[in-house]
Amino acid sequence: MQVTFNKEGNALVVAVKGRLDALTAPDFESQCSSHIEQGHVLLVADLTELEYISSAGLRSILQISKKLKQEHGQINFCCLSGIIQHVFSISGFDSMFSFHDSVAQALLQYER
Amino acid sequence: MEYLETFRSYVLEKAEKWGIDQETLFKIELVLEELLTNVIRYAYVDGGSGDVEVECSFQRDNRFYLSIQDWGKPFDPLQREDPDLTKGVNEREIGGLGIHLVRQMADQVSYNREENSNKVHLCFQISTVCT
Repeated sequence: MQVTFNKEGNALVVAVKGRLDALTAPDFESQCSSHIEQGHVLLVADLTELEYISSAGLRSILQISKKLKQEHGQINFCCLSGIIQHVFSISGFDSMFSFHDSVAQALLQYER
Repeated sequence: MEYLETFRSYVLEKAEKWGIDQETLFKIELVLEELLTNVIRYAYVDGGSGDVEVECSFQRDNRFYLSIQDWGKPFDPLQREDPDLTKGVNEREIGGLGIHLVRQMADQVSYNREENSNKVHLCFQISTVCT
């Protein structure tokens, strides 16, 4: 799993590549947490290159979003492949977050 | 947790060899991870370490069968309550998603407690076999 952070205006784009599973999710969570602690509270998760996610990955996303809520921040998602979208949806995550087709569209949410 | 990769590559290599499609491979992989991490985290909490056995087969009826057996404390994944999927971020509990995903991803799940062991049998219906 590789995570790349890119500042775009007032938001932080978090691009995740590879797998978010029981082995990698704790590292993903701690990398995001340290950025949140530095004051980045508007996040866009770019999941174009995410190949696999399990409940451990979903749990880390939930923890991150709980942390963001406390800081009056937010996370939204873009570019999910079909099967990843399916996992999000059967976990009830589609009603908790907003999903977009591109990073640009996801960023628009924060410009309003 | 380091054995996870051994089981994963064993099952996935077999499934790929049998020509199972990418979407079903994803489901098999997910179910395997959820059930194995459950065994690793909870089955042997009192004793520290214990065995786990994974079997898989592909039958002519186009079904992939997977079974996972451990000799830890009794745990029936079918009895576990589903998490409340309608709650918002603040109210949503962290646990319970893994077993929910198992039940959603596999076409059939059954559980037996037999001679001090937990055995979970799963079945995946294969729609396309790539040859």
